[in-house]
Amino acid sequence: MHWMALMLVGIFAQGQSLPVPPSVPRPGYSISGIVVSAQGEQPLPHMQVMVGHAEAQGALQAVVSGEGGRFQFTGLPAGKYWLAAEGIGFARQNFDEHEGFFTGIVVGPNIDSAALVFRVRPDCSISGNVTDDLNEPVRQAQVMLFRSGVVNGKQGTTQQTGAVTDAAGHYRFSHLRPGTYFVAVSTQPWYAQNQQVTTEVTAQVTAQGSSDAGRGEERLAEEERPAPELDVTYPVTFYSGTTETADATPLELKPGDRATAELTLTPVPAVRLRVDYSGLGAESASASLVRRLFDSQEQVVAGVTQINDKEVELSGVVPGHYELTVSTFGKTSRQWTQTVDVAGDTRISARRGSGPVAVSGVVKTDGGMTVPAHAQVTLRSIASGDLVSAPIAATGEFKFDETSMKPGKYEVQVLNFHDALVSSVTTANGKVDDQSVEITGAGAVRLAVTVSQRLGNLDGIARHDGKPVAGAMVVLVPRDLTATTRFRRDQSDSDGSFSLRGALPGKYTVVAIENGWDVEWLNPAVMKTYLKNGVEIEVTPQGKYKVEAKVQ
Amino acid sequence: MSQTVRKRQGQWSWVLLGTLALLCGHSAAQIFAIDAPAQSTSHAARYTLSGSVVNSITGEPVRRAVVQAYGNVSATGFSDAEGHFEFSGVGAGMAYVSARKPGFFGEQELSQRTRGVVSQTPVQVGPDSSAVVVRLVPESTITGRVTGEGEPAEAIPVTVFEARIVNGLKTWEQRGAAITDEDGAFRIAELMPGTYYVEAGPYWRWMVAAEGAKAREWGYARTFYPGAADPESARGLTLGAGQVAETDLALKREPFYQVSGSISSALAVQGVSLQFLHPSGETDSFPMVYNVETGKFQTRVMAGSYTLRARGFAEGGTAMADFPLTVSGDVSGIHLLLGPAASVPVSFSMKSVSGRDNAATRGGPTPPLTIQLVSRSGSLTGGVAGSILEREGKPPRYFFRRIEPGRYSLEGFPSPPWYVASAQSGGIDLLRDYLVVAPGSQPEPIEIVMRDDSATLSGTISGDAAAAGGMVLLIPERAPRRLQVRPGGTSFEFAGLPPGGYSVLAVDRADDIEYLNPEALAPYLSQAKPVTLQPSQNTSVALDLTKVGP
Repeated sequence: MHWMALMLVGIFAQGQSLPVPPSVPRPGYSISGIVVSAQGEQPLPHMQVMVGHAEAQGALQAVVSGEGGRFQFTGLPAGKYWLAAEGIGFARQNFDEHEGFFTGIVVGPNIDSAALVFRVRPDCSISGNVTDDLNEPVRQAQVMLFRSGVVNGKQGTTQQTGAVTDAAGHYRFSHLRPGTYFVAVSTQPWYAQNQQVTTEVTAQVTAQGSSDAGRGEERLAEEERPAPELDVTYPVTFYSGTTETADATPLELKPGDRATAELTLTPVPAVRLRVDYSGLGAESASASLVRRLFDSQEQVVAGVTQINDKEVELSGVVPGHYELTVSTFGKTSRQWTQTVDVAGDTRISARRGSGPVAVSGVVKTDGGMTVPAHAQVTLRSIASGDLVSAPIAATGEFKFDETSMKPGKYEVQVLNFHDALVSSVTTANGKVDDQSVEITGAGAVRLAVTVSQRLGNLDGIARHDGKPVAGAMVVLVPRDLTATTRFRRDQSDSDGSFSLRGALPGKYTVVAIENGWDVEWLNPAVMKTYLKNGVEIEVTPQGKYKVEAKVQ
Repeated sequence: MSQTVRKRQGQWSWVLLGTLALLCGHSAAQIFAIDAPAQSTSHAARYTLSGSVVNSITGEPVRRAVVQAYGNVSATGFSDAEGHFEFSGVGAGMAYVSARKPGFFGEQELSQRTRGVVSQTPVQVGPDSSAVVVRLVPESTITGRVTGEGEPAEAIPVTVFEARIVNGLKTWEQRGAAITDEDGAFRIAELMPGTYYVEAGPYWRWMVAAEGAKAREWGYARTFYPGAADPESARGLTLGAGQVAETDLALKREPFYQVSGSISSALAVQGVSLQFLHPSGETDSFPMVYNVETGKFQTRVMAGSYTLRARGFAEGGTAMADFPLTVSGDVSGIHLLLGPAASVPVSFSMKSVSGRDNAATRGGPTPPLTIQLVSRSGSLTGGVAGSILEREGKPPRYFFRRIEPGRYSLEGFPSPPWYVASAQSGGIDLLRDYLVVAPGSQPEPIEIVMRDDSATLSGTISGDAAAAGGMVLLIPERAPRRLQVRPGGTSFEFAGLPPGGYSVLAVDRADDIEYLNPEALAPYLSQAKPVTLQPSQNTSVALDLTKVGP
C-alpha cells in the first residue's frame, strides 16, 4: 500500500482542517494486536495508535495502547485500513513502513486481523558539539546529515537534513531511522576576513615621450589583503575529523541508538578565485561554486566581490575541485558552467564553451487530448536532480529558457497534463530513450514528446507456497531496465494484495521480493537476477490485469 | 576625558537597525562613527599600541578576540592566549581600540542598549602611552526544559522577552527564541544583563480526523515562567553578565472543543476571520469552517479563556465583533453581530487670539494634519495599528477611519504658535483620557479647538547637566498624559505650550522612568518645579538636575 502525499498529521502552530461531526457508533469488524518495539520486542504501553481508511488520510479512531502494548479498534466496516503509531521516542510510523509504503490491514468476513504485532522502530538520534582549534564552541555552524542506502532504487549517500549549532556549539538530529549516516560541518570562522579591500587612488603621472607631453591622472587600484591569520576558512569537515568523504567515519545506527559525533574545525588559509568574464560579452556577472559531497551537491559559501567591470572575485575558498557557474547579466541573463581546480589564488577566464542550450519541442497526445491550461514540460537532470520547466502552449509547443539549461542527461516529464505520462521522446537525430534525452550543448535541440493517458492498471496477490504474503516489495519491471520512469512499486497488504497503477503500455515483469527493501531495484544487474521468477505481462493501453506474483 | 555621541530619541530606530545588521552572528564591542579625523604627520615617530582584552566580570584574559584599532591607525589582530595584543608602527595621536568575540558584548554595545548612548574612550598614542585594557562583557544565557504532563515536550516554541521603557511607556521586546528538542530542552544565549520573561507555547497537535472519528486534539497554551498566563503575572529572571539561568516549565495539556455559532452583519460580508485573543494580548487562530450562505461557523479551540474577535470582509470595509469566550467544553449557539469598524469625524475650530501677524494666521489657519490616534491597548508583540487623519471634499472634512476596537491616545504636533486647547469626543476629554472604542460601536465626533496664544518655557539646568541621556520632563497639571520631553543639557526650550500650570523636572536619565504612566511618574513629581505659563508669554526657569539613574 502506498500513499502519494497522504498521512499528514501535522504539527502546526496554525493548522487547517475540517471539524469532526459527532461519532456514530456502527457494528462491524475489529483490528487488534500489540505494539512492540522493533528493538527487543518489548511491549509498548502509552503509544497512540490510529486507524483510518487506506485510501484517505483522516484518522477514524485513535487509542492509547494499554498493558502489554494491547490495542483494539472495533466497529470498522469491511475494507482496507492503514494503521499508525507514535509515542515519546517513536516518530509516527505506519504498519511495516518502508519508504512511504506500508502494509494495509484488511478486515471483512473470515479475515482475521486480530493478534497483529505492530513493530515500531524507536527513533535514533545523532548529536554532538562543533568546536574550533582552541576547543571553543562554534556557533551558527551548518551541520549536514548524510544517509547511505537504497533510495528510489539506487544505492547512494545523499544529504538528508541539516541543523545549525547553538551558542554552545551543540547540534542534534532527532527522529532518525536506523541506518548508516555521515555527519559533516560547513561554516566559516567567525573572525574570517577574506575579502581584500580595493581602494581606487588617483595618481599624478607625467606622460613621457609622447608628442603632447603633459601631466595626467591615472586611476590605480590598490589592493589591501586581510591579515593572514584572519584570511582563513574551514574546509568541510566530516566526522571523525577528515576533509575527505572517502575517509569519513560512518555512524551505524540501530533502532533506538543515540549516537554522538563531535567535530573539530581547523582553519586553513583561504584562497581567492578571480573570474574574468570579459569573454562572455556581459555587462556584469556573478559567480558561484558547487562542490560534490558524496552523491549530493553543495553550494559553497564564499564572499563575492565585484573587482571591476570585467572581473568578479570569490574569496574565502578552500582549495579543491569545484563546478563554477558564472551568471551574466545584461540584455540577456545567462549561466555558464565549467569545472575548476583551485589550488592557490587563481585567475580564470570564464569560457563560453559549455554555455546555455536552446531546447524546444512539441507535445503530441495519443488520444486526441487537448493541452490543459497550466500544463508544463519538465526536464530533470539525472546527475543533480535539478528541475527546469517550460509551459506547453495550446498548440503543444514548448521552449525552455536558454539561460537555465545546461548540457547533461535529462528525464522528460509532463506536469498538470490530466493523468497523462510521457510515453516517448524523440529528437531530430532519432529516438533517444523512452523518457530521457542527452543534451550535449553542441547545438539547438528539438524534442518531440508523446504523452499518453491510456495507462494500464495491475492488481494482484503476492503468494509464497500458495499463502498470501504481507509486506513484500512488488516491482513492475519494464523490458528496458534503464527506463527508470516506467518502474512501478507497491508493498503487499495483510491479505497479500497489491496494486500497480498508471503503467505505460509495453512489456513488463512483475517481481515480488520478501524483505526486499534493501534491493537496488533500479540497478539492472541486481534486478536481472529476480526476473526469471517474475510474471511476464504485456500492458496494453487502458488494460486491466490480475496478477499472481510468486514471492522470492 | 570621554567623547560622547548622543542621539535624539527619534533618531535611534534606524541607528539600532543598522547596528543589528552589523552584529549579525557575533558581538561587536564597538559601534559608533569616529568623527575625529586621523592626525597624520608624515615623518612622525612610531609607537606601539598594546594592551589586553579581559572578561569584565572575572577579569580573566580573553584569547582570540578580534582587536581593531581606529583613529590614526587602522589595524586588526587577535589577542593571544594571555589576552594580549600589540600594534606596532603607530603614529602619535588619538586611537580607538575595540574587541569582539562570540559570547561577549562590548561595553559600548551595552551602554547603547541600556542608556541609548554610545561612548568610546580614545587612547593617546605617544611616548608615554600606557597599555589599553578592553573589557568584554560575557553574554547571559537562559536554558531549560519544557515538560508536558511530566513528559519532555518537543517542538515547543520558547520566547524570551524583556520589558523596556520606550518613550515613557513600558513595552515588551523579544530578545531570543528557540524550539525545544526531543528532550524538551532549549538554550537561548546572546542575552545582555537584564530581567527576562520566558514564554513557552502555544503548540498543538492537529490530527487530521475522518468523519466519525473518536480522536481528539490537544495542545499547550501560552505559559509564562513559572506558570502564568500573561507576562504581567509572570516572574522575571534577572541575569547578571555571564550568568546562566535554568528554567523548567511544566505545561498542561489542554483538550480541544468544538465552538460553533452564526455570524451576521449589516455589511454584505464575503469572508470572515476569527481570532482568539489570549489574556497575554497575543492572538491565536484555529482552523474554522464558515458558510457564507448560512453565516454558520464551526471551529475547534483549545480550552482556555479568550476574547473571540470576528472580522468580516466586505467591499465597503471591515465589520467586527468581540465575544468573551471561556472554552471548557463544546460551545454552540454563539451569535456574533458584526458592526462596521469605527469611523469618527473630526472638526477643528481655529481661534486666532494672539493678534500676532504670522504666516499661519495670514493664510488662514490650517488644521495640523499630523494628529493621529495611537493605540495604547498594549500587547506582547505590538498592539493594533492606530489611525491617521484623513481629509476629503471641499471644503475639507476630516475623519479617523477603520479604527479597530481598543484604547487610543490622540496625539499630534501642531506647529507653534498653534496648540490644542481642547479635544472632546462626547463627554470625554481626550487631552486627559483615552478614546475607548468598543467593537461595533462608533465614537462621538471629535471636536478640536486650537488657539495661537501659546506660551514658551525656556530654562537652564545646573548640576551634572551634561549627563548623557538626561531629559527635561514638562507635565501639564490639567492633563499629565500630555507630558512633553526635551533632551537635557545645560538649557532647554518648549514652544507652542497651552497656557496654564505645569510641573517641570530635569532628570539625569529618563529611560528608566515610565513617565507616561502617572503612577510611575508620581515619586518624581515632588522634586519638580511648578510654573504657570501666561498666554503668549515667554517664561524662564532655572532647574537643578534630579538624579534618578543608578
